[in-house]
Amino acid sequence: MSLLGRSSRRFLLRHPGQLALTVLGVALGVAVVVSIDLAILSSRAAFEVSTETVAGRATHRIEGGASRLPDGLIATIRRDLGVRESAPVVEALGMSEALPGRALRILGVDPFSERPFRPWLGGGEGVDLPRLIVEPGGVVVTAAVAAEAGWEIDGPVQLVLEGRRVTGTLVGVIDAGGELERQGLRDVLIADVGTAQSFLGEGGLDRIDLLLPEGEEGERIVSAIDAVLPPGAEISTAGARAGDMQGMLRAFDLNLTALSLLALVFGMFLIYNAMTFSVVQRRELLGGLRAIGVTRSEIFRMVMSEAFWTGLAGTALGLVVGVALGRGLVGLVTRTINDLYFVLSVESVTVTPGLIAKGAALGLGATLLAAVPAIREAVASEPRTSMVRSLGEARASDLVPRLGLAGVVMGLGGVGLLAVPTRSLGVGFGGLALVVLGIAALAPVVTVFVTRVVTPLLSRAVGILGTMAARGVIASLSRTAPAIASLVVAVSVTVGLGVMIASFRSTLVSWLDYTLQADVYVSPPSAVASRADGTLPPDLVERLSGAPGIAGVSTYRGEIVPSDYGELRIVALDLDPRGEGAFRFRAGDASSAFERFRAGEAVLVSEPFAYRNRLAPGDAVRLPGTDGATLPIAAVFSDFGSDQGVVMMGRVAWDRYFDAPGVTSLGIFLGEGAATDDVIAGLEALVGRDQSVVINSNRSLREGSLIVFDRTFAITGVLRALAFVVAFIGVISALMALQLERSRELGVLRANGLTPGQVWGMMTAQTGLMGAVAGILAVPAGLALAAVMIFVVNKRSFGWTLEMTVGPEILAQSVALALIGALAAGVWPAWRMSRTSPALALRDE
Amino acid sequence: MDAPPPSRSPGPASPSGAPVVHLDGVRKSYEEGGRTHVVLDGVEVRIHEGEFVVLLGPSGSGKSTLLNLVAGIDLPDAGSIRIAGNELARLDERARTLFRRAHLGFVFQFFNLLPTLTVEENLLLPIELKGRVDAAARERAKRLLDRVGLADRAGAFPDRLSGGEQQRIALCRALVHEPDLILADEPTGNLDPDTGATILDLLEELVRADGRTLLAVTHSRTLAERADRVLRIEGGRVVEAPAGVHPR
Repeated sequence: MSLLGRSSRRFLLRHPGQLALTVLGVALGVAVVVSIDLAILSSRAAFEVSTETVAGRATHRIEGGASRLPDGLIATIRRDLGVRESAPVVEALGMSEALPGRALRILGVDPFSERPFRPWLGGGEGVDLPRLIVEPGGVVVTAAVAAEAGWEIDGPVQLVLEGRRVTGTLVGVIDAGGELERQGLRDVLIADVGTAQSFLGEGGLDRIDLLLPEGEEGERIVSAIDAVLPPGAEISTAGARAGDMQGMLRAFDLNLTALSLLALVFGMFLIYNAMTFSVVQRRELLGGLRAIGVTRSEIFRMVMSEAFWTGLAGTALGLVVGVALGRGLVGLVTRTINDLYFVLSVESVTVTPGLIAKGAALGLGATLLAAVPAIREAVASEPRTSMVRSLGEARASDLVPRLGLAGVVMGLGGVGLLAVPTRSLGVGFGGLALVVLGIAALAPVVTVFVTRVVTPLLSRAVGILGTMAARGVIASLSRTAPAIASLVVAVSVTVGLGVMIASFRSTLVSWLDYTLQADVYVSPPSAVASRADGTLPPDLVERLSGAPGIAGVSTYRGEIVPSDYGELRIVALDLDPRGEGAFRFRAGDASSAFERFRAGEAVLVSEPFAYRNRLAPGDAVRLPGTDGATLPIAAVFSDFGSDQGVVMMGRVAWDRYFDAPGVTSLGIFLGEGAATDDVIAGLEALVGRDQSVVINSNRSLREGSLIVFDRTFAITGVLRALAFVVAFIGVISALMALQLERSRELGVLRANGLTPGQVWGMMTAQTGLMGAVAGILAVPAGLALAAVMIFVVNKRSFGWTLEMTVGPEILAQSVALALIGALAAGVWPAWRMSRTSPALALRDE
Repeated sequence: MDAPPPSRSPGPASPSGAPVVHLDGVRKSYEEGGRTHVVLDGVEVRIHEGEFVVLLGPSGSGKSTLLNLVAGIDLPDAGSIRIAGNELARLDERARTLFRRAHLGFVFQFFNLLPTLTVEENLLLPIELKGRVDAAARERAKRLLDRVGLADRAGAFPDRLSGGEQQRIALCRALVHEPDLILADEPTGNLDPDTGATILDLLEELVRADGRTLLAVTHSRTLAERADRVLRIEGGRVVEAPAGVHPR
């Protein structure tokens, strides 16, 4: 190693605090990005494994849309068309008390058709295929699931399926073979088609899996199958459905990724502080080196390699911490996916080389980027100017107006990007990032302005020490401004996210107020919190509808089906007139909409559906599974239940197009004077022993919805806190740097009789002032961020229009957060500065 | 503008061969608050090999500016600066840096030793910058340390040394790569009189013993008394100090 390299390495090791802060900055940023990526990747991988295992090797599938496929279709395809490699499937979600909190996928198959599709079923030694068919209620699971649930061979397996309590018998365990299959079959229960149909209480198939040859022969068979399909049934490639389902998560993933990148930006503040300080600290030394003949490129290599090695150390640490953090976050992410989208079980996290490479590239890239100002300053070291201590600050002061101008330009650029008439979320985040950076760049100019205003006040209040505290902020602008900027960004992000979440919540509360018009809701137990699955037994519906104390009932029937619009939720609503207030229309004629809706002449679509598909009242919606039938849109309604969108039609239209009787849930309106609890007790008494339904009062459903909402934003809360912690450490690091830089000045003050308490007071006043400046700037910045997130990011991500709600407390909260953050961050550095020994400080030269 | 009239400073009393330092009509000014302040104007200086020259002048007279110009750290507005045959104005920034590395040795007021290198490593740095550190270089560094009485401190870091010891190391560092010209900026300005005197003894001894050329900028009369010639900056011009300022 060269002597310059050796000197550089020893410098880093001699300043372990600075080194630790730099490494920590990189590590935190990398850790957050990696952990979020890991959570997203793991949930995607789990989704793929589960889809591939359950779907098997099928190349195509036939589905009936909202209607079920007739049982005879499989015979037609096999016998008449000669497609031997075809397998009927009945699929449903259920639950078991033996596996609390987990959704079970019940897969009804024909065991003898399975070998080409799902070889793990046919090949298992523990599975007695004839018995699976012959034994009534016979089911098989993997050995792991059986062990977890405590199910034994020949023992009972109790399940709840779409409101029915059923008991099957475990007739064998599957030897899942590979680890992937074992993971994919976690929470999967296999039965014969007939058994599954008897569990569900209805005939028909959910789909038929096909293994078709490629090329012309395959296309010919597809055409032949298409010709014999019943109305509404469609044949598609197996990958299309999985793609649709993954597409549902795109915006969700992107929002998480954007938040994680924000943490990386905060990490860059730490790196910037530490790197710049390490150069400022060596300004004279670098000047000396330049004088004795060290070239700029040698200085460049020296500081660059410092940045590289610290970046590498931080990145390595960040990767380790990120993977550990990711294991925790994956639970939060999966829960949100389960709450909002579909059932997913993530058993393990997936650390891929790509993930590590991305984390490493971001960590090193961010470090080198954040180190650029420091490297530039080091390279620009002039031997002649090396003795001038205040030159750096002179340069920093010169930069203030330019930075301010850059801030305005970036801010306006960001606003311009946001105003671009596009729906691109990437452009939206780009605009948002520019606005945030613009605000950060304005920090120095605002600092100078506010400090100048405050100086005479502080001077009058505290005397010369007040003046010194205030002027110190400007005098060390190269240190204080980045700290203030990072605090501004952290507080504005905290405030912005807070306002956005509060606005979202208040919009949701008001939406729930008018949407939940009925007094009591009945539905089958559901694996996905935000919606019910399956149908209620018809006899139960009849009994419940006629229960005493009930004045009216709305029925609801929903199905999620693949469509030209992607995964689509279509709903049949038989609306009690009292329930009409449940709709707030964002577009369309409210007076005629219900009439056309009830008559089955038009549909109502949710705002996200209309937004995503650029549809408006009057446009036609192609109904999936109907061989191209369309219905016009009567109106667009507000809906926060699904970001994928909902198409609602009257029951008349549903029954016209789909062979799907039954209702998914009931909305019950109570008669005058009927007490909710009494009615619920009465309804529960009507539920048979073999049935399981969830009966909720209006209030408990509302509370449940808000619990899901709060759970959804739990991960945002974690990231908010993390952003603030990084900014907090940024302020500490800036103040520590300030202390080292000003030790001589403080020593002089101490030598002249300033007590440690006075030094502490002065430094605390200074950090307080920094916090106040950050707070003042963070208010408009936070509100701007909130507005962008509400009106641009949310709209483009999910298609929702939220009402922005800003309470008066936001101003106080923002300033208090910045002030308390800065003061708290300043306690230790101020204490250390107050302990500066006059002798040591003066000997420093 | 307060430019002084052009002047001509005398060369050496008995010139021998081409001068190591050759300044012709050098002018240097700075912009200050919208005004042009001329620091040096029409400066003529010749310093020959083996000469020990001291430059005197009050604070702000332009001594450090002149030193920076000779070192190639700064460039003149007009005139020519030739050091060891190199016309500095014709060199770009990188070439001037490499020129300093090869031809100059520095002694600073505040020592400017690298705190993260040991005494020996500080000495080896100019050699490493110039080329490879070989056994001969190490031996030279060791000899120099021996001559300044600090051979036993070779492995110590500078912050373990006193100011006088640090400046002795700085002297060795300025000489170790055998430069054509040694520039000293107030070499005793940060030392007590006794230590300063010791340093000056060593400086003179080392420079003269190796036949090196030295240009030292100082306020110190003691240093001036040891010089072959003393120059003085007056009103932007460099003049030979009157007889009696130095004994030789």
